[in-house]
Amino acid sequence: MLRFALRRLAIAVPMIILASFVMYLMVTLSGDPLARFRDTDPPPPPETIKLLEKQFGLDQPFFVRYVNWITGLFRGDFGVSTQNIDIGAELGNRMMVSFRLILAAIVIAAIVAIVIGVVSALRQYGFLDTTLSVVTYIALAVPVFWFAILLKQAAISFNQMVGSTVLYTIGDGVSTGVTGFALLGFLVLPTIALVINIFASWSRYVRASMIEVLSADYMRLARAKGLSRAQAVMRHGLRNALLPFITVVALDFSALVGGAVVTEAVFQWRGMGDLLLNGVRNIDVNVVAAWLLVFATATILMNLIADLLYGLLDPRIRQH
Amino acid sequence: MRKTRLIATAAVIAAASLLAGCSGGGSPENTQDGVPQGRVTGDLNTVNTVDDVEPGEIVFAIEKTIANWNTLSAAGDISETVWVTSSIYPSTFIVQPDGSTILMNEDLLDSAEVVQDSPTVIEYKINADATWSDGVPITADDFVYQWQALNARDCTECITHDTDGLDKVVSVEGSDNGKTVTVTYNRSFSEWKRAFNRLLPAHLGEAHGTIAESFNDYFVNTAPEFSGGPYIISDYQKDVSVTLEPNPEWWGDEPKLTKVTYRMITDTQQTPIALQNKEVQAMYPQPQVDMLQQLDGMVSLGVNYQMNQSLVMESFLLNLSNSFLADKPLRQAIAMAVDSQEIIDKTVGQFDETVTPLGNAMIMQQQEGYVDHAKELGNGQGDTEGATKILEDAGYTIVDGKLHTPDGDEVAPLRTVYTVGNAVRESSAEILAAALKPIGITLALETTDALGKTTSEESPYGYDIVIVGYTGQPFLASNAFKRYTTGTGYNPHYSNPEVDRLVDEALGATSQADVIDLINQADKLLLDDAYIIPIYQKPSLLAYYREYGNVRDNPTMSGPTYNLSEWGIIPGVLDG
Repeated sequence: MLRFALRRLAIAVPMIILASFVMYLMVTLSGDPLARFRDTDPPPPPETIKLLEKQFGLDQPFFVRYVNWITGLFRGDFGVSTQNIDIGAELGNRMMVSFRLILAAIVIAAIVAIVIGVVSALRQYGFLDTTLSVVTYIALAVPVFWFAILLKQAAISFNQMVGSTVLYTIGDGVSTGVTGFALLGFLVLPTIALVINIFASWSRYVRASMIEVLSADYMRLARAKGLSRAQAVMRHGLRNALLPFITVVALDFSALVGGAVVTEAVFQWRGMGDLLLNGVRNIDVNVVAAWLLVFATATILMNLIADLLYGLLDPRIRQH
Repeated sequence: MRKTRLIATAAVIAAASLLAGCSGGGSPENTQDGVPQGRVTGDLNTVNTVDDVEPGEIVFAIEKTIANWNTLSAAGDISETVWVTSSIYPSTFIVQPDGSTILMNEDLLDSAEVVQDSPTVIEYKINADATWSDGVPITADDFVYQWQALNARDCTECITHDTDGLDKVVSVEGSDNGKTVTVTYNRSFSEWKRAFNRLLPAHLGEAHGTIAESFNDYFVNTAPEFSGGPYIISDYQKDVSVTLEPNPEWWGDEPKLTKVTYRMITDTQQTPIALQNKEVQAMYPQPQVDMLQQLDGMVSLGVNYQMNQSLVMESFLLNLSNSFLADKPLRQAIAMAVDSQEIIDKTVGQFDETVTPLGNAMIMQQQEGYVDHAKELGNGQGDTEGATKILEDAGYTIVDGKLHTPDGDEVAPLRTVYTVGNAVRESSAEILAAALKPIGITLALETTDALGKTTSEESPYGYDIVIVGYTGQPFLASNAFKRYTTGTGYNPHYSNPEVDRLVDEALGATSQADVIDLINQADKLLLDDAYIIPIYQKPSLLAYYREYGNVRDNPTMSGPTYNLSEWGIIPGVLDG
């Protein structure tokens, strides 16, 4: 198992370094980082632009900038931001904000997916299965930003009905000092928006996995031993069906972050998604490159965890 | 089976209520005599004036986060930052909403007078009670700090946005314990009121290193814990909000609102929703058709709005370094063929019927002294026949729909550049292309994601025609000097010695009437040269709940919070 893990890690490290170079190159080529300064009216004098170029290291050739950036990472220095932000500190703070949102979404999406998946499998091709399938396919197809806007409008109607602002459409609450139960008012809408896409795909996976398990010999054996259907499903079926599901959750990490970028923008959470969007808008190379590096590292790590879990759960994988 | 039906029914009801939530927006019934019910109109400088407002709180949405607190620096001179800090950093003069009236800050100054004309010498008398919030008096030292930071001589490493005219100042001297400041210019200078705005505390600057160190670092990166105005920052959550509360050391009239929170909402589409949900009570976004419809739908919730002309003028800028455009008759023909009204009708006119063609590039429509030179010259009228006659008189010919110069060369397609993703400018460019087609001129439309770089390029030339949004100023001569005179840096392609002379005279004029007269003469020459073709002034939009009194749109650089200390709750409105 250790050799298996080391082999995977040996592949992951050069992938991250290669990814960092490609990302840095792509972001650098995407535009002029000083465009927003030049675009002001009236524009700053040329002397000021020269000072800014020097300040942001833009007077250096690309390779020098990349080498400075990548070596700086080992010292915990993510480089200078044209938005004047401390990139390292910002990544840390914003990861916490995004983590709060993503964690809540994972937990809720997983619970909903398991319930719907199991119920659908147990009622395969029945009315309930068909209805839930329709619902999940709709959820799968709904664009997150559009659904988020609908949620907001529904929240406004709800608030007007109850006569006070219970559900909030902007902010995470924590940043503005909200504590306790009131935080739910900030968490509900973005969590639902993020959950909607994820639970749908997960529930289809659970359903398929459960249908396969239900027709397995050991399930028939369990029933023959005298277990009720519910007992057989809970003790043997569900456990076996859900083990590979854990790896699916790990592999879906990148999809979750993608959803969080949109959700954070719509609900104005200052998380990793918002950091990326601002970085892209302002062509802040070091911010975008740092974000992508963190994301790439996390994705590769999650894939590694998924591989290791597979290996752990299925000994046949380890031997290959 | 009953349970499954119940679940299915519940799902349908939930979906229906979600979709019902999507309804809303404006309706044509929300109008009174053609004016939308929520739209507040009146004198720009006094609209929504209420004498006896009561204390309260407000959350004001801003579209940008604050990454730099020094509004005098290149990266910090952002409108939103200026609005947030306008009641913290004291200014000597405040530009009123009409863009012409410039009032002395009577809380900061007892007087500001010209004591000598040539060269200009100004004497400021600072209010004896004026102090920073840490108890240190506001004195000549603060004026000297700003002068040294901005004059481009004493601090060449200071990353400034503009000199504010301080490059023409030869000395700033304090007397009377620093409460009298004498400022001497190197010439006669009419627009001295633009200097010494957004003062920073010199004693804090000194405590944080050299001028360059404090200007580029301390004042940039530190959210001000000081104040020289009616409010002081009580809480700052990076990228989320800034909260102001009354400055306990403030010497003037007590501000009415006890708490002002600026909420940073960077996705502009989310701001009207937050307003509707009462998470914010005021916003100052770029107006769009959808947004106006949303606001009309909020009238019943108590939302009012003011929509005025901003000082930003949309214009076509012609590159005189292009060999074809170097010929004046060709430029004049283009200016005459443009139909400004058609462009308005198909763009901003769809949500603001009050927008009219702009006929002056140096004085905006709401400003004192505005004269429509474009109409006098026949520019912007969509006059294809007139344009054709100018070209024919100059020896041009149109062969097979293509314009040929008097030398017989076919006029090459002109690269017309507009900002990528800007639908209004895209429409304007397309309408221009259609207008020029009958006179044989073809446009090659292109986009740019760096308009500033495009317009400042000398070689290689980034454009032949470019659509720009130039911001007008109350300081007419300084604005004209920067934009239209020879070799100023903002204008690499145009030169007219007569325009240079008139603008220079205006800079040295002793009365505003003289400034206006000289600038109008210069503008007429400029428009006759057809270097710039003004189209219209962009509208501005301020939306707020109607219980707030004295909230007023100020489309100048002062911004809508220029009178924040006067804002308050109108008695009885909330009860009604």
